[in-house]
Amino acid sequence: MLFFSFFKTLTDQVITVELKNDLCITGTLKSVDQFLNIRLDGITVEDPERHPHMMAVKNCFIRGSVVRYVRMGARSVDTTLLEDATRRGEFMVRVLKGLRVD
Amino acid sequence: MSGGFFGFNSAFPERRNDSSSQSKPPFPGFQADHVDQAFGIGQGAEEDVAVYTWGQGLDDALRDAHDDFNHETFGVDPRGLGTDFQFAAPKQTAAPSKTSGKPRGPIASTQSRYKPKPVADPFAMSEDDFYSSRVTKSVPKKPVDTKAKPSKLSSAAGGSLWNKPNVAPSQLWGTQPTSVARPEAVAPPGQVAPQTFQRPVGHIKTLEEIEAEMAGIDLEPLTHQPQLPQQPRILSLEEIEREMMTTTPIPPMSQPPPPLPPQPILPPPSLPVQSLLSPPSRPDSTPTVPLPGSGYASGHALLDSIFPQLGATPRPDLPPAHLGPASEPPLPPQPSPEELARLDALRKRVAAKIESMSRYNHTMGSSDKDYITRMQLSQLVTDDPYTSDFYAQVFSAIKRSRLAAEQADEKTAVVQIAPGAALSVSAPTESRFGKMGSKTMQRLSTQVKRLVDSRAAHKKTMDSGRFDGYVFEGRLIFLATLKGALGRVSRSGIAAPRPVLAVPVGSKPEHRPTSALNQTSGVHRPALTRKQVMYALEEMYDLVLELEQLRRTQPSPESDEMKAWDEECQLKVEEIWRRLMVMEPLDVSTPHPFIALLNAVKGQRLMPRVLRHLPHSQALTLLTLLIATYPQLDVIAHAPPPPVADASLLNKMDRVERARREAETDCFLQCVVPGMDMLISTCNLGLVAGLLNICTQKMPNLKQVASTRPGVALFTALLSRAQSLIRVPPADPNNPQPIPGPDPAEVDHWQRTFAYFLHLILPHLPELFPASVAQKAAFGPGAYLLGGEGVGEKESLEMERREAEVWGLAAALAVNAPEEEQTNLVAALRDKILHTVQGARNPVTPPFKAEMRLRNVNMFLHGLGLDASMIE
Amino acid sequence: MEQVAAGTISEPLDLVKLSLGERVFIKLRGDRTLTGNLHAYDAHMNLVLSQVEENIHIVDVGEDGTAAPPRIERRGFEMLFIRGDSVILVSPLLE
Repeated sequence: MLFFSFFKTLTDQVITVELKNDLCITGTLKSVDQFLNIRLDGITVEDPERHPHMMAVKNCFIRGSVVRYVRMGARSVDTTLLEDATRRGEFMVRVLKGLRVD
Repeated sequence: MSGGFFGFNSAFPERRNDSSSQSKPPFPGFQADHVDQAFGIGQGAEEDVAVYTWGQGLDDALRDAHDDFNHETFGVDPRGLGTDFQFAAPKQTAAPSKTSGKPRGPIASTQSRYKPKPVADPFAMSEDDFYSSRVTKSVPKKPVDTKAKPSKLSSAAGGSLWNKPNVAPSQLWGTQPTSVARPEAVAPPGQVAPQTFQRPVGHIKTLEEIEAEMAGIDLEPLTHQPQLPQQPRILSLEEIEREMMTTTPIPPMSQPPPPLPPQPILPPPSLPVQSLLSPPSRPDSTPTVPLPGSGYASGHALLDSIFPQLGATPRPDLPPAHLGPASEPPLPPQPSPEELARLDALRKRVAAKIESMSRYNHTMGSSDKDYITRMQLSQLVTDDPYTSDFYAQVFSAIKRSRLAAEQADEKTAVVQIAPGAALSVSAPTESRFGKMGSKTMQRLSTQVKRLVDSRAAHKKTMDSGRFDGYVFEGRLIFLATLKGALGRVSRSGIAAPRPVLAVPVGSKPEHRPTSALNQTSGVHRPALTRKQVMYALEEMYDLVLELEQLRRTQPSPESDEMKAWDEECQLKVEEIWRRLMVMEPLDVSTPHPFIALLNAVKGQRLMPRVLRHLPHSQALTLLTLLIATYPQLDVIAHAPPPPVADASLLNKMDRVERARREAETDCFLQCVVPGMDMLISTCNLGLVAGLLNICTQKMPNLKQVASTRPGVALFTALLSRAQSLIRVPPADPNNPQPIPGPDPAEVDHWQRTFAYFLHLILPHLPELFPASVAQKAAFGPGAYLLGGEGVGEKESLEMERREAEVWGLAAALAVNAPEEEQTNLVAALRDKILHTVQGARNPVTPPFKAEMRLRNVNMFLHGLGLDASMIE
Repeated sequence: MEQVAAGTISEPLDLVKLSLGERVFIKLRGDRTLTGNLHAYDAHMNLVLSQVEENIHIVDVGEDGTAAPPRIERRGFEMLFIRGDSVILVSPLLE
């Protein structure tokens, strides 16, 4: 849920999704789900010459599994908080496995 | 190409076999014939053919029956366009070949990509759907109007996705280039019309034949179109009955109206053009998710843009699916004005679009939708939204607090499902369920709760005694029980991966510095390894996080829990204190374990958060240790070297190394120094004097410390704190009680300590200025650059800023120095002062920089009661 | 306490945890490597890095089939999410 949570905070921000086939789609993140499927609005494609079929597409739904990277601005991420959230996730895992912390 | 688009390989079997480009389809497993076997459908054909039996059959059927209007449906340009449009052409889309007879070129992989889809019923949504698609095999097939069917059935059937004639490819591609009756091939094998087998298997119409046919029928009236290119389809019971009663195909218009919701005939005016242009059907979409506007719409637009001449040709396309008489278009390619034709085409496309979309109406009943929503919700249910959605929750909380009060209204709603379970629906999530009324939400909530409860109960009885949930903050969390809402309930999952690699527990005590340290104090030990530091820090982070969580859940002060809570916090703080290793002997190792923690950027970032929780006495102890071991800090011992005039003189390794050290220093100044300042500002004069004394005693190389930014910051903080304590503020008229002056003994102690400190640092004072150091280090043209304004704007500004820090220290020295020492101070800095003032007065210097320099110098001179303007 | 302390190193992911907030080296499928500051990870090895430098190692093959010396394409990103299924390894980047 960490990354789901993470992406939720990026909604309505402009991000660039780089797919595993090198297609880079920039657009406004409209929604995301637990599988990290992504819906983008107002998209533009890097190198449209190579991907002419994307030219008229204005919004799209990207299956999470085809994503390689998602690029975003550094200002839209609170890294300290993100690290804490990661640690908390880890903490939960450990507790779940029965290793009581306190 | 467009054939491939519609989900079947447009190549003829024999061509596929001999065409080298197609001999290796991208998805061999999905070759039509393989699929055939794999799914065990199309048995009727399997005796002798492994190739496209349905294609042939349909081809045949189409010709025999009503394929006269294929051109209408598929928009075949009488001129016949080639099919070698390359969908993913590298740079420019290849023009469709106009020589229809010529063999097709290599076909892009997309062609076969969708091939598997037509097979029977991959989309059967339910068992019923599945069976219905099988059943149709035995039904004599006739082209039936798609519309005549209840939408539920039709959309459930896989075939309908592909063979929908009303959603003609022409809409997509403008002018259907291919003359091959490809669409027929789409029909699921299981639904092959009986005609298939009447036909010699090997016979497949050639392109020419088909084109000839098409050309011949080109001018047939439009009105019959819809039914003609119809694929054999899955029939509803009523339809089948109807079929059996009549032997001739019924023109669609004469059929009883289907039990469909009324379909709009014209596009709503608000319909965006994008959606008008978007394709009526998407071969790759699942039946339940029509996604208008995405993907393939671009194909059309692209074609339009690339082949304007095609756009100019009125398209004889588009089956006017259920167009009412009112909107019945003028029979097309009359020499009507171009614009009119285009408008018509547009309208038709819209109608087809709406029609195609509405095929999916009622695919899911409301109970289906509820079910899905429940599943989604149950995935989001947690006992505490702050555990699983920590980042988003806190992030938005921080954001909200920044946006402050004017946007006070909550964007995050925590839907309380039950006292023990809650759902966080923050802004983004909200939009997912935005259309649901609160009532629905409430209802679902109770359902989800029941779901969760029953599963929890089930789990409990199933493996009672085994670990099932855990108590966190006094509440039971059933994490594991929620995992399986979409299927199998398993104890491992995203949040709790099954441990695959089990390293024996406790095998690596050497990584745990804290556990051993305190018992064996007094002994010299090797410094902590980086790994040990990292372990220690991560444990510390965990503790701090737990403590922070604990603080958030403070009970009301009167309650009984208060005491327990307080004790718990105390315990955590003690644990943190122990792990900080501040109480380790000073010389236990070099660097001191505490300093080792601080040398990691991670440790620096943690420090302010730790300091917040420590009691004051412990914090002061920490400060003392920090100052005593200050030279061991990486930011002191490995301070970034003075800047060079020309970064291009450095090699890459140097640059990277410098950048890393600079970043460390920045982090230290940002994370540790403020806390240090804050602590120093609470010290009394005696303590400040003691701390400065430590500096003089424990810093063998005071100059080295002072020439670093953290060092300058430390000394400046100590000196200015002392000065503010010594200078008794003027008596407050409102508060007649005299403010007690500093203890004379302390003042004396301070003055002696300061004198010694000044004595140590005075000779090095001019060398502390980064600009001077840089100038000294620079050689050749570099010296020029530094003196002049050749350095980059940013760098020179940064340089002035760092100069200011040192001038600040000089000023602090000046205000503390007794008069006789002040002369020495000015003497020591005379050259630097003159140089800076001259530089500021130099007309070449940009005004803002000149101002900055003068301000820097005056900071010092004002401390002595002087001003830069007094300098000639 | 000690039990937990011991428990924390029993998982491979705990090693990744040590690098949280620190600079790491990542090897990805498709001959890509990354260096950056690690800010988040999960069990799938989904990652968030900042100040990322990506190196793509490319071997061009000439017309005669001979491989040219490998070259490296570099890109930089200020903040990057990496989907876990591309990740081959994560390792601390020691000075």
